[in-house]
Amino acid sequence: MALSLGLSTVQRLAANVLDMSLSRSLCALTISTRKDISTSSAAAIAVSHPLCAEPLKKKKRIDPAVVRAREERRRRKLEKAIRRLEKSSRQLKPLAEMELPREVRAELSERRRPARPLTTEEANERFDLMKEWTRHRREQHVADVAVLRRIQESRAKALRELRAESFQLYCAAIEEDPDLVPWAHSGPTLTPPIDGYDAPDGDYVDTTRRWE
Amino acid sequence: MRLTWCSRRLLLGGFQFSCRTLSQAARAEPAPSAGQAGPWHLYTAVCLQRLPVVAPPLSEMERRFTALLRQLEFERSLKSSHEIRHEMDIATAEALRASEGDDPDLAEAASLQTAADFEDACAEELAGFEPAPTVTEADRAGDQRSLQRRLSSRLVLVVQQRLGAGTSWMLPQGRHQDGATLRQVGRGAAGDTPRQTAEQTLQAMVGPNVNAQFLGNAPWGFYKYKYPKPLQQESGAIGGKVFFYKAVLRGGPVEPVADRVADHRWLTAAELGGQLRSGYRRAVHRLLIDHD
Repeated sequence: MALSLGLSTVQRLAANVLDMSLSRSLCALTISTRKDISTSSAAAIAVSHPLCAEPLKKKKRIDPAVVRAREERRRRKLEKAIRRLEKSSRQLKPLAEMELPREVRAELSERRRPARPLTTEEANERFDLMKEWTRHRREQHVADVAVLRRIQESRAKALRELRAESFQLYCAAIEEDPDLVPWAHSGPTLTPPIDGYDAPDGDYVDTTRRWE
Repeated sequence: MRLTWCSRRLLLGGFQFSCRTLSQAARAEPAPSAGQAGPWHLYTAVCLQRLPVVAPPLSEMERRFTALLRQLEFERSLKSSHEIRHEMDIATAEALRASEGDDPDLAEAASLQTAADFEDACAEELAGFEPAPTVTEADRAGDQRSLQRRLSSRLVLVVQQRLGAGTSWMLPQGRHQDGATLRQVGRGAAGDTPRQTAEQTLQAMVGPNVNAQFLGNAPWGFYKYKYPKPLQQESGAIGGKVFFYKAVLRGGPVEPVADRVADHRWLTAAELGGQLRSGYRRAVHRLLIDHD
């Protein structure tokens, strides 16, 4: 419910609305105010319908420099927060499994082994053995690569021959096999499985650490 | 360009395939080749392998290097709690002997299970477990029909297949029947792919209950042979082209079917020479891993 007074309505609107020209507002209102102008002030008091709202607040024009300053401040704050988080992620987190247990660290002096210096012969032996091993592993690797290349060439030849024989069969042969991947195989063990072995019951204590 | 023309023609023809090959030229359909005297029969053969069950024993070099690594790790390590306990036990025993049994605390400490006792108890428990031997009965007997032989090697199935009147030692092999017309080849009634032929061949030779995982749709090896003259005239083909497919035995009984297969053996790559003809053996050997 709004109380509208005749002349004061004109004055209020003219003062608030800066964009609208005074003449326009006066024009719109003079029609109405003509009715409202009266010598007795009581007749000018009129009550409008219940509006259940108030007129929208006029949007104040903000200085663009101020707006820019605010944006700049907000951006700088965010960047600072991002830099702080990134610094934290760059730091290496300690692995509990790689650190010595507390009890061991306390008794470190008792736990150290007496250092036994190596003789020259021993040192030379070790050095020679490591060199031999490197050579041995390299030979193994070269042999592996040769085997794999041989197998690949065999397959390439088979595909060439199949293509020469029948293009349709070749196209069917080079299609992907969806059952091949993922491939799972339990590798060779040290001893073969025992038929009908009854494994004894044991305890299983799950010590996985959980962080919620 | 010939490439795009071909791919467009094939796509419009409803041809569903994905050609991803190493060479560019492979994507284009070849021109019909001229000058072939006659057709070749196509066969697919299956190289069914039993993978190694047991790791091979360490070689001399590996044993020496393992010993060195163990020594290095020991030298760079700290003492374990078990060792500390052992040293304390020794010190307690010494102190007990020095005090000649007067101190009751020492006596009590010495009567508990020592680290050495604990070690002995563990060793005894381990000795009670008998692992299965890596050299089996079949190894000693030299039974080449057994799958329990040579557990640290791969074994390949070789069969004595009935061909016409006679038999021949080879990998299980079956004839590939093309579709009657040049219809779309795929998984359908039009015609089998070579891999499907290979699977059917294996089941026909060693029974339907075998569980074999085939390694891909592409063949791994190739062998070509000519029929003898009477057979050439009778069948109208020069000979046969065999495409080898690899499969891994996952389980299931291998039951050779008597009317197709007279005998079978499980052989390592090195033993194949004794059973197969030289040209055929060379083709098979090229697609096998032969470390063992």
